[in-house]
Amino acid sequence: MKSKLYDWVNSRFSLEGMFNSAFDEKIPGGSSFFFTLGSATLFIFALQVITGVWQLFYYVPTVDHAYASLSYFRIFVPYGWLIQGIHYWGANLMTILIALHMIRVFIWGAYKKPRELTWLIGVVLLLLTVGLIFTGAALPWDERGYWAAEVGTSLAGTIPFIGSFLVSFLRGGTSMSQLALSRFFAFHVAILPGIAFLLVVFHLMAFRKFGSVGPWNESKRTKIENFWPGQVAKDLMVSGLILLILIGLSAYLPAPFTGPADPSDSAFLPKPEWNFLFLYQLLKVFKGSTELIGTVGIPSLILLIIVLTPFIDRKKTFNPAKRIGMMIGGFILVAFIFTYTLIGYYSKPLGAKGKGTTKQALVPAKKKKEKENKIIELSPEAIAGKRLFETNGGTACHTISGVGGKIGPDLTNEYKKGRSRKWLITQITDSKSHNKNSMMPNYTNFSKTELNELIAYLLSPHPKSLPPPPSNKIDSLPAHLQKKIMPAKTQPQGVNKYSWEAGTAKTLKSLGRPGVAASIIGNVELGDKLFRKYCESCHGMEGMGGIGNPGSFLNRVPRLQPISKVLFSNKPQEFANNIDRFIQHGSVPAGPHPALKMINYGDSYALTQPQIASIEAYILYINNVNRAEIDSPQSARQFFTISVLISIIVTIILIILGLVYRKAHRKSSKD
Amino acid sequence: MENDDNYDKRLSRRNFFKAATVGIGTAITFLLGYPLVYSIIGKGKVFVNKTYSMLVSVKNIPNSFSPVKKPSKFNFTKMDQDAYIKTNKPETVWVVKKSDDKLTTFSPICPHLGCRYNWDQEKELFICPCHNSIFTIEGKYVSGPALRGLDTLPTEIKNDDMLYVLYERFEVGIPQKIIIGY
Repeated sequence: MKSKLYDWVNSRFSLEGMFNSAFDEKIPGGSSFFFTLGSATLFIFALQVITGVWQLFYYVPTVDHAYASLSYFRIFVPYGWLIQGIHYWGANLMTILIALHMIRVFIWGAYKKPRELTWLIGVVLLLLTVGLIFTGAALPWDERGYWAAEVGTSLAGTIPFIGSFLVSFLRGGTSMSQLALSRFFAFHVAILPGIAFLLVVFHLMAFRKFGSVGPWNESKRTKIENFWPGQVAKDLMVSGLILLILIGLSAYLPAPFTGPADPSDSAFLPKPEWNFLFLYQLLKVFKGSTELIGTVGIPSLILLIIVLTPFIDRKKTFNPAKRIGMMIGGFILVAFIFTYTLIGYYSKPLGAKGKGTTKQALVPAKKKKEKENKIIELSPEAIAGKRLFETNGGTACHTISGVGGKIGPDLTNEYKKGRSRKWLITQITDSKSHNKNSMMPNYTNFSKTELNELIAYLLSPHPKSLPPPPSNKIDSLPAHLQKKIMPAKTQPQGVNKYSWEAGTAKTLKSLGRPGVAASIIGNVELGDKLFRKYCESCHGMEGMGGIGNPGSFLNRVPRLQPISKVLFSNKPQEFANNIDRFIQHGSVPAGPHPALKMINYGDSYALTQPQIASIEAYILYINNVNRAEIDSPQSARQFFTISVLISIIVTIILIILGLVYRKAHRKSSKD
Repeated sequence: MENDDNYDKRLSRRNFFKAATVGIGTAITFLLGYPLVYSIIGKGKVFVNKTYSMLVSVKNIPNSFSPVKKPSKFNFTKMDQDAYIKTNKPETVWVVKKSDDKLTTFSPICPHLGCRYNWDQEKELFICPCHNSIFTIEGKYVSGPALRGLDTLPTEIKNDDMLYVLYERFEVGIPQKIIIGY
């Protein structure tokens, strides 16, 4: 049966010997799903190598293009999302599989003499994996990877004696910059995988020399099965399942785009990936002079325990029931790492405000109860004034009862200042007559009644702080007031009527070219923070309603949610291009003499390009457009569905085959 | 193989596992192989910036036929997105002006093999330094290995007398003028 080619090769290179040693290994107790964990880890390692090499077709390790090249790969290259997704999630799954594999080996006592070397090589492979995850995370040169590498290398610097050498060796200099990225790249794609590959071969050779340890129960060890085909098939079943899980995760939970690394950014609160969380949490326990215990002491101790395991446990028995001490020790170690990972996961970095919405952030939950008792009832006139104040941007600039912007003065105690109605009316309609440098726009559009309502509100006593106003309780108010307090969201007036809309797309172009930010994929969360800081005071909370802008045709700063139809596009790149022109170059609203104009955040370097990109990602997000949408959005989920279908078909065929074989077997045993 | 019964049972198990290996192996190969192959033979997105670039005011272009026969060379920059690298790319075009309303703009690239040709003032001809393809000031083929004359580019005049050009790139080495990029 064997072909001539096979014979030709085999007589010069022992293929037969190779296959025999690979497939004819005897497994005491027969094949088992417990023994698939090692091969599953190997499968993921192979996946990581392939998907890693594939990313090299597109990725460049330079600080100015690494992020863009990876974004391009994920969004515009066919199946780039999948290849990057498998690599990203594969790294996570590999950590779990290695842990399970080690626990399995530990319980079965598979590290015992003569298999100590297999265990030790495995420990080195574990360290290499940690190194690969650490160096790999930095390669996208995004906020998350950059800061993780910055903190990680700084931590290495705390190691006594060799610390400072280690940092400069890892970074190729003193700071995290291009040379550091190049080093991380070299380590991640060449040195560490090269060593890992060699050690995987040694690990397998050492394993094969003494074979599988099998069940500890002597009676179960009598049955002996070859590695091929029983164990191979089981290994493949688990590998297939892993691939399916990885495809699903890539399609439905892609790695977040955290925006390009911005070393000057202080808004990003770095927290390590979950694999490193227990170390991170240890650092919080040991502070100051004892820090070294957390950074170097305990991790080294854990490593030492793992290395010494085969030499501590030298009993001949494999049965865990007779190795109680070891089992308890192992359990404590696993529980320790697991608990610290969990605590780390739920803890917030110091100074974090949390991810809450605007309202939650403005009113801390703790104080809520105590405030509710202090609400002071407003007159109907003042309620109408309050609504006017809020819908015309008063809240965006002024704080009342702890809610609102900080651009203008706090008006909570305005009623105590003894100001006259006339003074207030002048302040609202012509603020510059009181103070030449006043930034406040002149609100000449209010009627007399409206001014009275506003003043009634301003002169009402205000509590120091307040829970957010109930937004949907219009019905409970007097009929004549209902119209006035329509929430800003449903006010149709002039939403899409922008000054420059009167012209054609030519006017949009006349603003200037989109800048660099338009082609960067920003981070929505960071954009949210920046929006609150720079944009909200004029465009309103979450871009829901702009403040008044007397002297412009629109009479107010445009809303950004929903954004003008002219700027909106389902295509994220186009949408970003459109709004980028405004953010880069600014714009002057049409009208006789608009009081406010859009600032040129890009041209004036008030914001960096990555920051602008994040703000754009946020503005797209509040208009239900995903900046990081892959170019063919259907293909990700379609591909997963196809994968599931294929798996189901293969499973059904195998079940039928299994039944047929079983039937044939029964028949033959009857005969 | 102490007894046949056990042997048969093992045989059927073996066959089942062999079938499973082939089946699952094929599925994994396909699910991985297809995206991997497609990602490098399929096309990534190509960004096209099909916009006219501003060149120069028509009044400021010297006449190419008097007093001496001489075309004008103009540089401009054009926003270019090459995959993920966005740059302001400098580019050049040749403009031949007979009169204010008779302008011809040539791509600076020789249609033979893509070199950049020059104007030889003594011979009053366009000469490509690579393989000596020669063209007249009107872009007509004179001699050399080129298979077509110089490639003209579309132009527009906006705001009275501002000349705008749409920079296009053409396939070289063939007699036809086929656009391959901008």
